[in-house]
Amino acid sequence: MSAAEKTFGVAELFEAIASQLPACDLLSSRSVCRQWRVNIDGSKPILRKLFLLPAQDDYVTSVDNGLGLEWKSGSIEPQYGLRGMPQEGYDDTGPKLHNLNETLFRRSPDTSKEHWEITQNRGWRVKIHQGRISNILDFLFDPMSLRGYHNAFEMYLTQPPVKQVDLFAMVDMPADKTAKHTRSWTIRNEEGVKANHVKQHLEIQMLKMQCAQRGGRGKDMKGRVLWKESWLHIPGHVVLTKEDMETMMGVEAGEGEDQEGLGDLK
Amino acid sequence: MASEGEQTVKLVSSDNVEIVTERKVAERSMLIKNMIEDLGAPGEEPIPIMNVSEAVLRKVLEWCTHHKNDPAPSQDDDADSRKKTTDIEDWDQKFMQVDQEMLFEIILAANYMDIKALLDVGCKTVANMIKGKSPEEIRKTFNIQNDFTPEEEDQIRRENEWAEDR
Repeated sequence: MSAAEKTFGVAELFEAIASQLPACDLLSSRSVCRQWRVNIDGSKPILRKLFLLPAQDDYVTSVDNGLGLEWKSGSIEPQYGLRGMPQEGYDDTGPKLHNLNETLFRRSPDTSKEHWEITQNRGWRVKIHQGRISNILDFLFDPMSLRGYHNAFEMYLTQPPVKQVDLFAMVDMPADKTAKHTRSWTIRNEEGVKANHVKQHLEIQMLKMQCAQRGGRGKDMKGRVLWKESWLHIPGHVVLTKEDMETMMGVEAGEGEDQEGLGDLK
Repeated sequence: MASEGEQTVKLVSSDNVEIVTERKVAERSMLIKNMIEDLGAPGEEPIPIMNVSEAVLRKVLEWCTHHKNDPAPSQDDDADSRKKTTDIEDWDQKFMQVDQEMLFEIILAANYMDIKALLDVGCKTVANMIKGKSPEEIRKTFNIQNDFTPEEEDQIRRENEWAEDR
C-alpha cells in the first residue's frame, strides 16, 4: 500500500487535506473514488465548505470599519427595506460578512458590466466597494434548470446562510409585447436560503404569471413566459468571495498587522 | 533546565537506525516531547519512533531543525490556518519538493509524531496538487482506481451536470 493510499485512508488526514480546497475542487474530489466520496460526505467541516451544512457563527466574523475597509453602503444598502421585516446582518459591530457560494456565483470577468451595480430597482450584480476590493458578481447557474438530484440543490447561497434574499426577474412574454417587467419577490427561510428555494420561488411565480396571462388573454395563449434574466439581492449583508477574504487577510498581513485579522473584532 | 537546548536525544527509527539529535529539535514533535517528559532522563534511553523509517525520520528532523526556533503553537492556530490556505513558506515549499511517496510518508510521520505545523505544510502541498484538476486527473496524479459502478458514475454525472457548461 502506498503512503498516499494510507494517507487518504485516514479520515482525519483526508479532512485536513480537503479542508484546504475550494468548493469546486471538493466537488471534483467527490467524483474520484468511493473512499473520497465517503470521506467528504462524512465530514461536517467539508460539508460546510460545500455550503451543504450551515457554517458556525464564527465562520466569518463581523467586521467594522476600523479595519480600514470602506463599506460603501450606498451600493448594497437594503433599499428594499422589506416591509417592516427586521434587517438581518446588522449588529453592534456593523454589517456581517458572508462568504459567497462560488459554485453558484462568481465574480464577473466582464468589467464593462460595472454599471450593473445595484441601483434603486435592480439588484442584478452585487458591487462591493471595500478598500481595494471591488466586485461584480454574476449569478452562475440557471435556477430554473436545477433538479433535486443536483448537488447544488441543497446548497446555501452564502456561509453563514442568509435568511433572506430579494429575488428579481426580468420577464418577457412574447405573446404580449408590452409586458416586459422586472418583478421582485422576497425569499425568506429561517434555516437559511438555499439554491432550491430560489428555484421553487421562480417556478411558483412563473406559474402565477402564466395563469394570469391565460386568464387575461383567452384560449390561444399558451402562457409562454421567458425569463430574460434573474438575479438576487442580499440586503444588509456584505457578501465576499473567498478570494476577497484572502485579499483582505493579505492586506492585513502585508501591513504588519497581527494575524488576528477579522477575528478580533467580536 | 537552562542547558536544555544543548541536550541531545537518541531516536530509533522503525528500521532500527539510531539518530542523535538536539532535544530542542526533537521536541517539535509532541510525541517525543511527551515521551521525554515521561522518561525523565533525556539522552540516555533511546526513543523508538516505531512507524517512521530512517529516511523519513531524517527528513522530518531536517524540517524540525529549520523550525526549531519557531514560536510554540498557540490555541489560535486553528483559526489562523483556516485563513491563508495556499500560502507555504518558501523554505517549506522547497523542502516539500520530494517524490510523492516521500511527501505522503512525511505527512504520515508528522501525524504520528504529532508535528502540527509540518502536517499542515504537507496537507497544503497535497491540496495544491489537487486544485483545478478533474476527477480523472486527480486519479492519475495519485494513482487512484476509479471504483464506481457505471450506475454510480451516471449518478455522479447527473449530480454535477448543473455545473458543467461553464
